[in-house]
Amino acid sequence: MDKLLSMTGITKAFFGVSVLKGVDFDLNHGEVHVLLGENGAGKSTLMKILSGAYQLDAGAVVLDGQPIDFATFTPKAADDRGIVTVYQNFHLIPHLSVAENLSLASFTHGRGFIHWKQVYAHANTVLQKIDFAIDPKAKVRDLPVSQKQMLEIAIALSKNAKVLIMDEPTAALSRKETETLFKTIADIKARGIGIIYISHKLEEVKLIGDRITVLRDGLTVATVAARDADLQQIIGLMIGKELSRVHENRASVSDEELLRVDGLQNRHFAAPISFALHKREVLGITGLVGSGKTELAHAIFGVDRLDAGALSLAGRLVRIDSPRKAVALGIGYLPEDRDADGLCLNLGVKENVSLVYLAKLKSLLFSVAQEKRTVAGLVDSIGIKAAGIAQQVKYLSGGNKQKVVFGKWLSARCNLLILDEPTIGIDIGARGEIYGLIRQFIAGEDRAVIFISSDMAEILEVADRILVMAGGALVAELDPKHTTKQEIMQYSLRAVTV
Amino acid sequence: MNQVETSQPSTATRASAGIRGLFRNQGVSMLVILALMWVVLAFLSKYFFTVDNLFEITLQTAVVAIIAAGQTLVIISGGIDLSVGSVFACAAVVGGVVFTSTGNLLLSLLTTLGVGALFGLTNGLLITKVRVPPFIATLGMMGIARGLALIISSGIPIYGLDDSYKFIGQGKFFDVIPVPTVIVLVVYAIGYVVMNYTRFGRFVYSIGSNAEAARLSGINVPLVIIGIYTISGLLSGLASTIEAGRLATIQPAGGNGYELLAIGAVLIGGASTFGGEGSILATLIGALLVTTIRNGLNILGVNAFWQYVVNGVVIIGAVAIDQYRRRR
Amino acid sequence: MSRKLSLIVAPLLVLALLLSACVAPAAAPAAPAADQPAAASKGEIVFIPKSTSATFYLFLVKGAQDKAKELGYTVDYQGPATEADIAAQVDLVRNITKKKPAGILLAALDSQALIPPVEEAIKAGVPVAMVDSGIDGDAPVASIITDQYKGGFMAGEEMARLLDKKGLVANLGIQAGSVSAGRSTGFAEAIAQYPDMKVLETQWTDADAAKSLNIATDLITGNPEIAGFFAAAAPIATGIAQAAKAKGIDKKVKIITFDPSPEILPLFEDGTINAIIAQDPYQMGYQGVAAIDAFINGTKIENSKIELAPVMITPENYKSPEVEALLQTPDKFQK
Repeated sequence: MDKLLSMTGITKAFFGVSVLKGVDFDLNHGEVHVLLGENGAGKSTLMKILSGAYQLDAGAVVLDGQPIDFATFTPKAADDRGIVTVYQNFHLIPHLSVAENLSLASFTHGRGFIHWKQVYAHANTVLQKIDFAIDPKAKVRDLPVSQKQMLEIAIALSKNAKVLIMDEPTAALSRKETETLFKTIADIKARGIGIIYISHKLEEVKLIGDRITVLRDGLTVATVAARDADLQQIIGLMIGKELSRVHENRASVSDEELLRVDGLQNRHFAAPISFALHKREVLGITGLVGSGKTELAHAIFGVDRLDAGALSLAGRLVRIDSPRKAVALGIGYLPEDRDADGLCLNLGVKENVSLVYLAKLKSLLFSVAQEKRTVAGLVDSIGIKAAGIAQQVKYLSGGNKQKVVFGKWLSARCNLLILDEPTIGIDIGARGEIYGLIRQFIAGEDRAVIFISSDMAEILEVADRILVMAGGALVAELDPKHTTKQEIMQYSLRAVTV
Repeated sequence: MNQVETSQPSTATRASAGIRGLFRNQGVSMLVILALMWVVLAFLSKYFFTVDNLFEITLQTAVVAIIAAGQTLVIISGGIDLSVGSVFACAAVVGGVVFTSTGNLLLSLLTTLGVGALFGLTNGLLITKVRVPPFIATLGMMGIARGLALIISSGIPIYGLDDSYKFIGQGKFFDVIPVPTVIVLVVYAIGYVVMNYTRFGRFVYSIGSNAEAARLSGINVPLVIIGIYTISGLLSGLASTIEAGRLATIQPAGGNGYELLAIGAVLIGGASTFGGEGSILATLIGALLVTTIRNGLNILGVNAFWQYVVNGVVIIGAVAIDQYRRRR
Repeated sequence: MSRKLSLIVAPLLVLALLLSACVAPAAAPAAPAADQPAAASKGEIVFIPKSTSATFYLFLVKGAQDKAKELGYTVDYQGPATEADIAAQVDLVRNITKKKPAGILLAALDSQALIPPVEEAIKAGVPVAMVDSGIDGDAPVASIITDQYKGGFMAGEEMARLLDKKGLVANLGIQAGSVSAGRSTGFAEAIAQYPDMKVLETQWTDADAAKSLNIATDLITGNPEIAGFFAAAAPIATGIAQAAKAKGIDKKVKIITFDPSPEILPLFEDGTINAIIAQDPYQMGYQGVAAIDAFINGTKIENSKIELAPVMITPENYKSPEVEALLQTPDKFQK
C-alpha cells in the first residue's frame, strides 16, 4: 500500500546551527506513528517544516503521491492539503464560544455579516462527527482542558485533515479523559487519517502507537513497531546515556520527623488531614485531578487560610499564614503551573533564580557581583541550558524552566520542598535530571520532599511512602514496594462527596 | 552546548553581537536619538546649542522628570498613577500655607513632601487592601487632591515666596548649573541605585513581571506596592517645590496634565504597559526628548498649532525607531 | 475585615486632620459657597465662570453677592476647572437649568457654543445674564461684558508708548478661538499700526503659569532682542515675569498684563510689570444680579448690553481711589 506521507533527507539549519541533519520519516494511512525525542532533538522543527511554517534547506516531502513544492508552501497551503496540527498550548480563542472558534476560518469567507444560524449548524455537524457532546454556545475559557483538547481536534477534523499532528495531547488530561481521547483517535484512524503523535509519556505511546521513531540531535536513530518496543532501550536511544533515578545510592529515610500535620481543615478538605513527613524522605501524594493535592500544598505553604489544625516544623509549632512566612521557615513550593505561578517570564535566568534568595535577605542593598556568582554557580551545578544567565526565561524549554524554579529554591537554603506535578510536559532526559536534583537535595540533613503527582507510575517510582487523596480527604497511606497502580487507583476512585 | 528549544537563532557572529548588545539597552538607543535631535536643531538655529539653552532644557524637564521617576517604578510594577498632577498641586498648596504662616522654609518643604507621600500611601492602601485597580484608585485620588488644593487655597495662587524658596527653582550652583538640574541628577542617581542594586528595585521588576510568582517566592507584595505609590506621591511633592521656586508662586491649578507627560516620558523611554520592563535612565531620556522638541520648536518660532503636529510625529518616530531596534 | 478597614481609614483620617488644620485659616476668604439663606429668600442665582481657577471671578461673585443680599437672593458658584473645557461648561449650564434657579449669570467660554444652552434655559423660564464674556445674539436678558478687544488694543498702545514705537514684542494668549482671544487680537492689531514694531505670532498657554514660563524663556532664547510681553491673563504674567527675572532682563523688558490679581500686584509694585489692564468684575456681578431681578419683576432693563471699557493701571494712577477699587486684593472679599 502506498505511503500517506514520506519525508526524506530533511535538513535544516538556523544561522549556521544544524538542527535537522537529514531526517527520514514516513506515515501510513490510518496509522499512529509516535515521534519521540528530547527537547532540542528536532521534533518541533520537523513538524513545523511539515506544516509550512519553516522552509527546509534540503530534502523532499511527498503527500499522497504528490510532492510538496516548498517554494509556495505556506501554513495555509499545508492546511489546504490536509496537514493539520493540534497544539499543546491550544490555538483557541478563550473569549469566544465553541461555535465561533469552529467557524473562525470560514468567517474570512463571508460578506461581512455573520449568519449565526449557519454558524451553529456548522458547529453541530462537526461536533457530531466526532461524537463530542458540548454546548456550542459555551465560552472556550470556561471549558475544562480536556474539552478544549477535543475542540481542537474537532476543528482539525473539520478541515478535512489527511495528516493530523498531535503535540503532547494528553499532557493535561486525566486518565478517563485520555481513554476518551484514545477512542477518538481510533475513530480517526478508521477513516484512513494518519496521525503523528508526539508525547513524553512512554507507557502511553506503546498503547496508542503503531510505530515509534526516535530522533536525537537532528537524526533518526530508530524506527520500530510499537508492540516490539523495549522502553528502557528506547529511553537509552533518546538520551544517549543512562537515566538517573531517584533511588540510586540514596541515604535511608530518617526516623525523625521534619513536618507534622495535625487535623488540617479548610473549605477545600472534606475531612481533617493529618500526616507526618520524615527527614530525608520523599513523600508522594497522588490522586485524581481535583482530589485536593494542590490544595494540600497550598495549605502547608500558606496560600490558603486554615480553619483548624496545627503544623509543626522540626517539633516546633508554627503558624503559616502567608507564603512569606513559609519561605522564612525554609519551605519551598514549585507550583503546578510553572509559567503562571513560578516564573517571571520576561526576566532573565539570573533574576528568577535569585528571587527567593533576595526575598530572604535582610539588608536593603545587595551585591550584584555576588548575585551573578551565586546564580552562575547554581546554573552550572543544576545544568540549566540557556544562552547565558541574562537570557529571558520565556525562551527556555519546559525542562530548563523547571530547573530554574528548582534553582530558585536551592539558592535560598530551604529544607522542605513541595513539588506539584514537577515533571509535567517535560521530556524524558530533563525528567531524569530533575530526579537527580531531588536525590541531591534530600541527601542533606534535615531535608525532605513532598512530591505531588497524578502520574501513578511516577509516584511508585519516586516516593518512599505514598499518600492517596480522593475528594478532598486523605484516604490511604501505602508502601510503594508493596502496592500496585491498581490499588492506588482503587483508593483514588473512592470519591467522598462533600 | 546551547540546547534551547526555540525558533530564535543563537547569537551569530561575536563581533556584531557586541555593538548590537549595546543597542539592546533601551537607554542607550534613546540617548542616541536624543543626541541626533540636538544635532539637527543645532544646525537649524544658532540659539539652540548653547550651554545656557541646554541647561534650560534640563531645567524645563526637571519637574516632569522627577514625577516621571516615580511613575517609572509604578509602571514597571504593572500599575499606573494618574493622581500625580493633582497631588503635585495639593502638596504644594499645603506646604505653601505652612510657609506663609510660619516663614520656615524647611518645615514647609517637609510638609510638601509629607503630604505627597501621604497621598501616595493612601493610593497604595486602596490598591492593596481594598483591591481597587490602580487606574481607578489614582483616577479618584486625582479628583480628590485637585479639589482639596482648590478648597484650601480658595483658588487663589499663594504668592510672596521669598528668595530662600526661589533658590530651589531659580538658584544656580557655581553660577551656571541650575539647582533643579542637580536635584534631578540626585533623584535619578538614587533611582538607578534603587532599581539595580536594592532588593526593593528587583521586587518591583518581579511584581511587574508576575505578581503571583513573586508572592509565591516569599516577597511581601502589598508592602512593595505601597512603597511604590508612596514614592510616587513623594516625588510629586518634591517636583512641586521646584515649580513653586521657579514661579515664585504656588498655583492650585498647576500640575494639570503632568500625569500624562510623566507617563509619556516613561513609555517613550521604553517601559512596557504590562509591567516588568523599563529603565529609569531611559525615562530621563524620554523626558528630555519631549522637552527638547518643545524647546526647539519654540526657538525656531514654529507656529503653535503646527507644534502639536510636529510633537506627535517626532514622538511616534522616536519610539518607532526604538521598536525597530528591539526587533533585531 | 475590620483590620483592613482601619488601615484605610487611618491615613485618610490623618490626611483629613492635616488638611482641615490648613483649611481653617485659609478658609477665612471663604470659597464662594452659597450664603446662609435669609428666612425668605427670593431664590438662588447661579454664577458660572469660565473657570474656577481664576481669582478674577471671586470678585465677580462678591459683587453679585452684595447686590443679591440687598435684593434677597442667594448666590451659588459652579464652574469648569479650566478655561479649555468648553463642553463641560455647556453641560453645566444644562444641568443648572434643570434645578430651576432664580437666574443664571454666565461668563461664556465660547460665543457660539453657549448659545443653545442659554436659549434652552430662557425657554425653561430661567433668565440668563452674561457677564465678563458674552455670546452672539440677543437671547440673554442682559449682558455686562468686558470689551476684550479694546483691552488688548489699549495694552498694545501702551506698549508702543513705553517702547518709543520701536522693537520686538511677544503675545501670549489664553486659548485660540475663545472669547478672551480677542485680547490677543487687539494687542496684535495695535502693534501692527507701528512700522518699526513687530509682534511675534501669538502663543497659546491655557493660562497656565508653568507653560508660560517655559514658552517665554524659549522665546527670549530665540529672540534675544525681545523688548516686551503681553499677557492675556494673570497666571501668564506670573510665568513671563519669572522668565524675565531668570534671564536677568526683567528691568529691561516691558510686561503688560490683564487682571490685577493679588499675586500680580507685588510684581507691579516692584516695576517688573509695567501696566495692568483691569476689568471691573465687581460691577459685572453687581449689575448682573440687578438685571436678573429687574427681569423677574418685569421692569424694563434700560441698558441691556453694557460693554465695560477696561481701565489701564499705570504707576501714575495706581494710588487713585478709582483704581484702588479695582485691585483684586483678598481683603476685598474677606467677611
